[in-house]
Amino acid sequence: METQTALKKPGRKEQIKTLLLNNFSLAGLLLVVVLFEVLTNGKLLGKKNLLNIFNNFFTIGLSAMAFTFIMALGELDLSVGAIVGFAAMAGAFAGKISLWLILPAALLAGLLIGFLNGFAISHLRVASFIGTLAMSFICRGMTTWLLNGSVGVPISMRAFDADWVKIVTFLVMLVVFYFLYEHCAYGKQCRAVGSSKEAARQAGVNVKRVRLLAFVLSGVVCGLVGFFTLIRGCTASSGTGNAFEFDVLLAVLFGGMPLAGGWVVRFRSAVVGSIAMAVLKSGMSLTGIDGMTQQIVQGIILIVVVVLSFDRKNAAVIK
Amino acid sequence: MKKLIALILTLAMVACLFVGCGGEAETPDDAGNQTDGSFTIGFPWDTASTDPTWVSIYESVKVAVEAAGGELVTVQTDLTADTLINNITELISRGVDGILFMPASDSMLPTVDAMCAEAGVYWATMFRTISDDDIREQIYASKWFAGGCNEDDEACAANIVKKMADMGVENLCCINIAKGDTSSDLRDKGAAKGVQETGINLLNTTYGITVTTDMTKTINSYIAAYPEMDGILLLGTYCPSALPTIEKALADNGKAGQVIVGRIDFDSTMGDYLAEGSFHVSYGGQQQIDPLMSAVVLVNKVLGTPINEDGPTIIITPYLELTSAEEAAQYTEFFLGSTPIYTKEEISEKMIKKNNSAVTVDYIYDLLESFSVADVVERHS
Amino acid sequence: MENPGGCLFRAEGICKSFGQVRALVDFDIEIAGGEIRGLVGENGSGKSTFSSIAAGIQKYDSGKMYLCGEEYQPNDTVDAMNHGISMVVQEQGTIPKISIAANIFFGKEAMFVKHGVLNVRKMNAEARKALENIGVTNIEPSELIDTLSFEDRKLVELARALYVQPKVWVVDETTTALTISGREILYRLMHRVRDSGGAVLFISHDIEEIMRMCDSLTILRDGVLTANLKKEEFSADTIRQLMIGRELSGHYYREDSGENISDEVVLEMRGVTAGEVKDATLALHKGEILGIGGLSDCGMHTLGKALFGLIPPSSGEVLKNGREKVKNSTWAVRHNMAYVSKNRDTESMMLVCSVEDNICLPSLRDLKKLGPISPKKQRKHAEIWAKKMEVKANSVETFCNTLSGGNKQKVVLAKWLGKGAEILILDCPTRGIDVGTKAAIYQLIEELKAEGRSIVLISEELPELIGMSDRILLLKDGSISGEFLRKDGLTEAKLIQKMI
Repeated sequence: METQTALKKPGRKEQIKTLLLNNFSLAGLLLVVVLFEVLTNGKLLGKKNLLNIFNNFFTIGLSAMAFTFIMALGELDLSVGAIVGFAAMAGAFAGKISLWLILPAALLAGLLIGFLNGFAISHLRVASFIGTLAMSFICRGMTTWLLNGSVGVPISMRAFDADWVKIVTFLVMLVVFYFLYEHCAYGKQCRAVGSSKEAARQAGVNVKRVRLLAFVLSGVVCGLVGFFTLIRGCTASSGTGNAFEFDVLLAVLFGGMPLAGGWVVRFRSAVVGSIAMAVLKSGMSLTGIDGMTQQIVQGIILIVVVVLSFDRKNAAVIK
Repeated sequence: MKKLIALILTLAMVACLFVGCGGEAETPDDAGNQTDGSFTIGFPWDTASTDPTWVSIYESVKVAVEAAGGELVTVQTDLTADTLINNITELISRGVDGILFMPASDSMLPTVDAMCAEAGVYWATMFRTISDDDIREQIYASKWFAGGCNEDDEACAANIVKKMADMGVENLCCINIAKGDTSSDLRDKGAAKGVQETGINLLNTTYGITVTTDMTKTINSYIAAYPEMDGILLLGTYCPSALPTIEKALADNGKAGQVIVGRIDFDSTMGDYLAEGSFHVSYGGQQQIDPLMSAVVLVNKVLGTPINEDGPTIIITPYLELTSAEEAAQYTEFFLGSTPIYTKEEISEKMIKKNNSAVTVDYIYDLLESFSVADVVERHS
Repeated sequence: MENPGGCLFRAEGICKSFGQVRALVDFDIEIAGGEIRGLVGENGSGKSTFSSIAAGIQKYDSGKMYLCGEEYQPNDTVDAMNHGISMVVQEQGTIPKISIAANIFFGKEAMFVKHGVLNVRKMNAEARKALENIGVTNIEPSELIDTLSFEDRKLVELARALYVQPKVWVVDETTTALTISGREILYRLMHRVRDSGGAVLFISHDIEEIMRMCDSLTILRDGVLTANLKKEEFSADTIRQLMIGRELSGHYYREDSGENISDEVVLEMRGVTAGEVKDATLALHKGEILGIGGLSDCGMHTLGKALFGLIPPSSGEVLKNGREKVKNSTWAVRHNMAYVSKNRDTESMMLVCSVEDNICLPSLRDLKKLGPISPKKQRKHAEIWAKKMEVKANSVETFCNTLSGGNKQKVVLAKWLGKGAEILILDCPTRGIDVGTKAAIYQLIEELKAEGRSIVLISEELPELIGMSDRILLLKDGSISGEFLRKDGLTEAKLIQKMI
């Protein structure tokens, strides 16, 4: 349909409307914060609880940032939690040889699984949803089998669980990923592939490599998350990283990331969504809402967010 | 314009942050002070579950804490090690005085102890013992570990296998909680011991079933793979409505009544199946007494009057055996009903050292000696 | 028809806005029975908007329509069809995953329902009749529509539109989707509707076609009626002028008669077999415009993709500068090659994406100096090339899905010019594009040639090939069937001989 003629400047009302829609994830976060701040008599943003929120947010936020690249491609990674568990196990076993090997082993394990994921999806053309789901079963099975129970690392490793280590790590990763996504060729290529695979290919983007790299990136970050999970509890068990992939997926969806991928996937969705998730969880816990109600609330919010973030302008294009 | 709104939102958030911090400074830290004897106990539990047993566990802990004049704070958990660690961090930051939880593994306990020691919070465990010698030694030496209850999982599993062998079982299949769980491992060990002593065959063991469809599949494949199977033993499971599922699968295969079914841990449905003869024996009954006693151990410690003054109070709770529908009905009524197995008054009077200086480890064991289905029925009917 | 020759359909003061955009402003039109009325205008002039309003696809804001003297206000397409107005559109208008017969009788299933049961056999028989009615016999109505080619699906749409003889038949840019034989069927049907006293509203970008087919012509510009022409007033130049609103500067196609081209070969195919293409050997010289033509399924589109490395050849090789093998599209782009696909919206550009990001995509590697790309530099790059190509958009931040076809194509070309491509493979670069942009693209191709760049121009339109190429290669069933040089003189008749 042809709709192009005599463009007028959009009215003020329209402007504010689109602005709110564009920033609704931020507005939503603000709403959640204010609501629970009131409900908990200001305990939510108390210093102690802020650290709690950060602890909750740290692992989700890290994975969500790497997840953004996969979302931009219009793909999914359902093996995030399983890779975290697998990497934690690798780290725990490496710790038996030398404590210095824990981090490299976890990262390497993440990289390996991420590479396998990426290879299956980019080169063997397995749908990402299925490929990563299968990989998550494989990882879970291997972790349970190899651990045969649980394996611990010395409690001295808890020194690395310090807040400043995590804050520095997070900030460094934030800057690195932000630049990689928003200001480097790679991030733009991811979004291009998500917008139109064929157009990206014809514009010279190496589609296979871009996809492979995104999964490798996610794998390595999961390895890092696995490391932090391991040293936090000083234990790796078959339950490590359990259902973590859904936390991450929920976080990015809360941030208003469209599942279809493409250029409209924004980096800030990952960060805002993760914070919102952590605040929401902490707030519900503080107000003493029980588990059942928490699930219901999460479900309702998810639907509201998806409805709101659905961009009508592009409805005809996203199929 | 866009930047402006983003800026306003950010400013508003920062403002909220300050309001939040300021607010905290003004309100007195309500959990920290203990001048009036009130205290709070943190309890990570799966509050999303409506299973009567799970609800009764929560109620048992609650009644014990309240009997001592404390307040219970729960946080939602899925009972995995990482989540429990996060739960404990959260509870500590909320200023609780003691934490009671069900450990997911031995190796997580040193971490928990370190966290609690740092914050000056007492902690206790329920349902689980510590099997790793090094870890046990380290934890028992900690002044912040109040102790806890566990049942003798190994002996219990061995006994129920013997009981089933007595009932005529020769070829047994087992179902157990995921490997790595302390109870799961001990019950496995016990079952193996029982099998060895009785000389029956252990055909297979499946671990970590959490949904009914998996339970159905497992039973179906057992029946297909082992036509000689004449006994199924549930060593433990987190699967909801496990018995009805097993009964259905057996009935679908025309095996109802031909296979002896036993389980460790009581549940709310076993009465019906005992009555109709598709379920035969259950060992358990500790699901209420164990958390209740664990909570008693912890609150006594928090109140400054530990039951065992020379170290952690470790109590091994007894198993009850249940083989008839009548007993099952009584169990359902008095263990899973609205009144806990011990009332607030009973606990306050008999088990809180502050009120009853006679409370010692031996005293508690004496109490437990007389604890049975009939005992609860007598006290509460 | 009650009043043959008299006014059959009339619209008065039709207005329609899409948000801020006014697509139609006080539009009046009167169509008589027994008439084929052309409706032309540039992309975005409002002609499709009007035709879809008449066919009940969308509502109008104000105005009145009359059919046979009675007021006419269609609720939806089915209602419009019941009133005797039916339409075939440019884009795919069939419903996938159901049978051909079900497509033909969509919304009219009640005809075949007896006691609540749909009589499928009866429907299929009736569908066969409908297809025969328009002269198509090779389509089996009981099969799924998805088994048909795009063109055959168009024919199914024609059958649906003409199952009940319409009073007014709207044909919206349908011919671009059809091959020559399909077009013949369409033309015949249009004449039939006219001869039986109905009216045809014919929308097309092809001015030659309009002049040949129509009895009268209505021209729109920016949603406003600019002229009504009678057959005797038709002239290509007048029509173009009225559509664009200004005089077209000088010429349309190239005017020179071709001169000698350098011997330097920049891109060649040696015995390439890929997809439909069989054993193709060809060479593109520096500064040359090489036209490639044929019927739409002759393999020329595959040939273009193979040249760019998008389809790996099963035998033979594609070489750049006589020695470097074109490995894949990534390699090709890095070595200053460019490709514009025939399917612009799905392959050449990212629709839900800004003009800026589209233009910068192939140049990302050139824009960065060690690591991050400066947003300022990127913006500047996009603005320079969007301006050079005269892309009509509020800013380079505008999303491409809001642009008209011509503007989208300008963005596609801008991205390759910005990359500094030396070899351009253009597959139907003017497909579905208005006259103004078409002229601009032809002019650009000439300029590029003058700068010494080499161009492969693949086109289904013979006048375009004849007008622009230095040399034309014709394909038939995947093999090269003929070669013609501009300097020897080119005519359509000569070319068609080698095509069929």
